[in-house]
Amino acid sequence: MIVYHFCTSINEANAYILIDPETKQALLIDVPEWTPMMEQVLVEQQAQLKGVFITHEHYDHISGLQKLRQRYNGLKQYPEKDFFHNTNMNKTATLKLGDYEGQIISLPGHTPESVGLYIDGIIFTGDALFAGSVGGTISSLQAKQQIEAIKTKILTLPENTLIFPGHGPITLVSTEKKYNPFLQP
Amino acid sequence: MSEIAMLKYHINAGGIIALPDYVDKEIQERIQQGTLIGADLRRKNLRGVWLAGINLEGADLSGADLEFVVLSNARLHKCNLEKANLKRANLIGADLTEANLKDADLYYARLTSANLQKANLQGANLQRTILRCADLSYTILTNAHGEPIIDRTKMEGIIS
Repeated sequence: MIVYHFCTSINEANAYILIDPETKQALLIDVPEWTPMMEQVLVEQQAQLKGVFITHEHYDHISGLQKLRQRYNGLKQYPEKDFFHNTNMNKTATLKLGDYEGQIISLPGHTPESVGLYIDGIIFTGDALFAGSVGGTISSLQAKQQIEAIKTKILTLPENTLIFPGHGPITLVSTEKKYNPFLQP
Repeated sequence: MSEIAMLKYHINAGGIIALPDYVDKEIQERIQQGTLIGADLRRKNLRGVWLAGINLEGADLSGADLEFVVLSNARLHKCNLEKANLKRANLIGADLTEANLKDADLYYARLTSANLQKANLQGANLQRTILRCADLSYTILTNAHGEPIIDRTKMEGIIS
């Protein structure tokens, strides 16, 4: 798997382009902006953009959606609407990218509809979990819900799982378990 | 609008991030052995390189480009990081005791739970630097500037 990491000028939000090197299928994770450099990566890699995965609908993660859709008419967006109609707190869905199968994980807290994507030993956490920190919430109830989701759905992944957050540098499940002050017992 | 930074990660089976081509062969070999003790890495480009848990004790990284580098849980005791670019670096849980960070750029670097006892941060850029639960006891902060995030940070005996 190849991952391109773009730190954008929109609130320093991250966008990622995942590429399966075998099938050349690509997936965009969040779109704070759609830039010529992102387009260039797809061209250089001869990759075909299969869809866009949105971790949550805050402006700094979706501001480039309109421009992206103008460029890629009919581009598929994940999670699909059905995902949110399922009221089960432990809801999951799958997403295929070439030879890889990802799992969409509900991570409510930062927003009620925040999601993460776990694929090939790495997880994209949006603004639920950052290196050394967690996302902001608007109530203590949502804060509690977020911590619960992180502990049960991310910290239970293998220790060497790479974490690609919505802002800032990448990290590891074991590092967050050991040092993230918001996740200590 | 344009990107602030772009990084490329090759992720091998088992979730291992491959070292980028711009890292010298000799350095790559030492990284793979898990130690860079005393290494001469002056002005090297190590942007976004995965160096979590590595031993860099006494290494010279002055003027190195370490933006977005992952040095979580790394040993950087007595390292020379003078004028290093550590913007947005992951230094969570790192041992930076007695390190020289004079005039280093730590903009938005994550130093959560890092140990900086007796480090020299003279003239360092600490704008948005996350120092939550870090130990800054007896650090030199003369002319350090910016507004870091201080929360449960140990600051006994700092020199400012």
